[in-house]
Amino acid sequence: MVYRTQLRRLIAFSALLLLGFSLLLGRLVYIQVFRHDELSAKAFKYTQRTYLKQTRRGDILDRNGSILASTERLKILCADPSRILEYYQPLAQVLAKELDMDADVLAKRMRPREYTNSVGDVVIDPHVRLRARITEEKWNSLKEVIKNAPFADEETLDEEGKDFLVGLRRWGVFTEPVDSHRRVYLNGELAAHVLGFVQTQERVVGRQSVFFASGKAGVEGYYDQYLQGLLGWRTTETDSRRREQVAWRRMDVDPVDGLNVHLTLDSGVQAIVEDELKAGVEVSKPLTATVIVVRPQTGEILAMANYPTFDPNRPGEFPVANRRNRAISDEFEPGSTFKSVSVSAALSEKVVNLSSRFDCENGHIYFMGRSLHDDHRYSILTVKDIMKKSSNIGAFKIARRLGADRLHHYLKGFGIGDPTGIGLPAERSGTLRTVDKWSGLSISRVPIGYEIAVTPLQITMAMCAIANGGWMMSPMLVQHLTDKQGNIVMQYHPQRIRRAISEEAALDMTAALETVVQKGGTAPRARLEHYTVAGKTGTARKYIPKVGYTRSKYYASFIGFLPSESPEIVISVIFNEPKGSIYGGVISGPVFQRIATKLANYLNITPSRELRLETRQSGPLPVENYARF
Amino acid sequence: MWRRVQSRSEVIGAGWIVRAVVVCLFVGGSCGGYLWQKSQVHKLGHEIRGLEQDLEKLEKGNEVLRQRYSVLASHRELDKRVEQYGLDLRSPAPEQILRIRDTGGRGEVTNARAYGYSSSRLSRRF
Repeated sequence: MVYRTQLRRLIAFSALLLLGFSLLLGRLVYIQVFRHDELSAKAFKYTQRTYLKQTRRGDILDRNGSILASTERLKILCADPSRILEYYQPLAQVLAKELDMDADVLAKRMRPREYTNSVGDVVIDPHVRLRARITEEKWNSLKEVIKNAPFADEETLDEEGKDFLVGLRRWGVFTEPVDSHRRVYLNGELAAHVLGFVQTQERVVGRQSVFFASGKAGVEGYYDQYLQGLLGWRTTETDSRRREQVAWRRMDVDPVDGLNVHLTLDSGVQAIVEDELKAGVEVSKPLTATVIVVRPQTGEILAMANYPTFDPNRPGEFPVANRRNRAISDEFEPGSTFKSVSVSAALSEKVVNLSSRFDCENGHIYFMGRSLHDDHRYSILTVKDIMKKSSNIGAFKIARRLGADRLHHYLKGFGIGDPTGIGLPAERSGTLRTVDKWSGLSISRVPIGYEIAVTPLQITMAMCAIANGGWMMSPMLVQHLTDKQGNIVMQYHPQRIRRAISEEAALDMTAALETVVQKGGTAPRARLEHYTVAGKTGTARKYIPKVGYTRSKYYASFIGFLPSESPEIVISVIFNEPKGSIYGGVISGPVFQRIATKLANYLNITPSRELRLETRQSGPLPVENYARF
Repeated sequence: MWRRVQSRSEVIGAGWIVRAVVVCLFVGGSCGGYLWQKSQVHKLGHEIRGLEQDLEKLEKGNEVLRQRYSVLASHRELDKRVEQYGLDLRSPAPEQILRIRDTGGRGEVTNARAYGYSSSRLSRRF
């Protein structure tokens, strides 16, 4: 009987146990099956985190690999008021000193604020942003300061209070997992107009804010899609202290950094050009000025500088006019520099040669009832002398012999009226009217650089065509794009667009332009000691709407190349409204000469043979004659 | 009948005990192994995170150094340093530069001739 009782008890106990387990099983099924979606979503919400990984904007480098524009990674400083509570004021005092911010502003931000979350609980906002950009070093020093700061008399606190302070020091102030980025232009104003600048915008992606820098001008704007890169992300789980559980990473996609843009620009050349431009501007105080340096054989831009300029690190502090890249965005009537283009056309068509003679009418002629002047009175001049003396009447007579149609055809061939396609935003195309829209006077005005408009880059590229034997080259600003590892992703090559003039015409024009810098030419001040120079001056009256051509405002320019027998560089110097003298040969010529002297040395250009021999005979020049750099 | 059962339990042999111990050891070992593996995963995860942070720090440091190098090697910075240290460096005048053209072994130095250097004078210079 005893055994039967025991058996009954055993059965009863087993039944209870079974019932208990059944209930548990039922609950398990209820939780795991019926409420699976709801509860897993809740669990997911508490533990699952998706972090965006910030991409790095590509660098912009010069042709020698020197960084011109780069990106600095910065931290975003935040605070968790729920871990600070009543200590927000002493903490604000500590942070204010370190961050150089107003303590009251910080205290206001860190004061605990309650709100109702999505689950319906009233909680304290755990995330406020204190500062968008602080450096890694600053963050490390801040951590030390917070760690050692006395927020209260800790001896008087109970265990809970002490634990709270430990939590405050560890998690009260933190940085966001995604860094903020700041674009830095390491050389300040150097090549500012070519590089452009960026605008940083904060966008919310998912529930996370990310900083995007979008290019607004220059290379930054034009190559923005390549420089940007792609964001990465990581989906992972965290523990109760928000520490990532690496083993539970679900997705980990690395960001794709932006491509690096390698320019044809040489920062050494650019620095020389900008220094000399600045010196020239101080002397002649123009409204604006532009200098461009190009390799005529390839069309590579070595330097492009404008005055006034700006610092791309803080573009907002400069007027919009300073940010304008005048080398491509300003159109002007080039005046006499344009004679090199129109006379080249006549030489190419063989309607004249360098020895052809023209009567320059003693400096004054009437055509279609309007007068055309030369600065000096000339009677009979050869084509070569017309270029040397820059005779307007001579150039007009040459163009008239060529004819309007053929002249227009050649001007189109030189790229006048079309954008050069340099690959920078806001490039203007210049103005060249079709022949049917020319007035009767146009054939006397267009050849001497009026009634048309060009950008400084257009006229420079036209001179490149004369220098390289007649080929119009596409201006080249970017050599290649590379990825983070340095692999070339995209390669750009020099591009011939078309033949503008014949090779003989180009050589003849070069010979004519060599005389411009000689004694009796319009730009003897542009002559170099050791290099042959070919170039053309321009002194153009400015057209003022409703007033006409003024005698008080001019463009003074000089565009030339060296060594003229095998041209390595073309340099154009254009001053808008210089004060004092107005002549291109006087204003721009010396600037050209100083730039060319320094560049010839910097670029290691072989001196011209004849001039070398001349120098040897007369003995070397004292070293002091050469500007240092 | 109950007595028979009791009497059977009395005759459980050592083999069964060994088997039970093995099973217990297996279950215990599995549990221990599982915990050890979990702690290893956690530890390795922690290490990975640490290494990732180190790598990120190094990359940042590398970037900063690269930028600093670029600034220090820039034309303007070098100019400034030359002036600061009073080095009085100047670029050479064209006639102070000797240019030697590779003539494929014939050894003609065109520029040296232009400047009147004799071959013996050249060899002394180099």
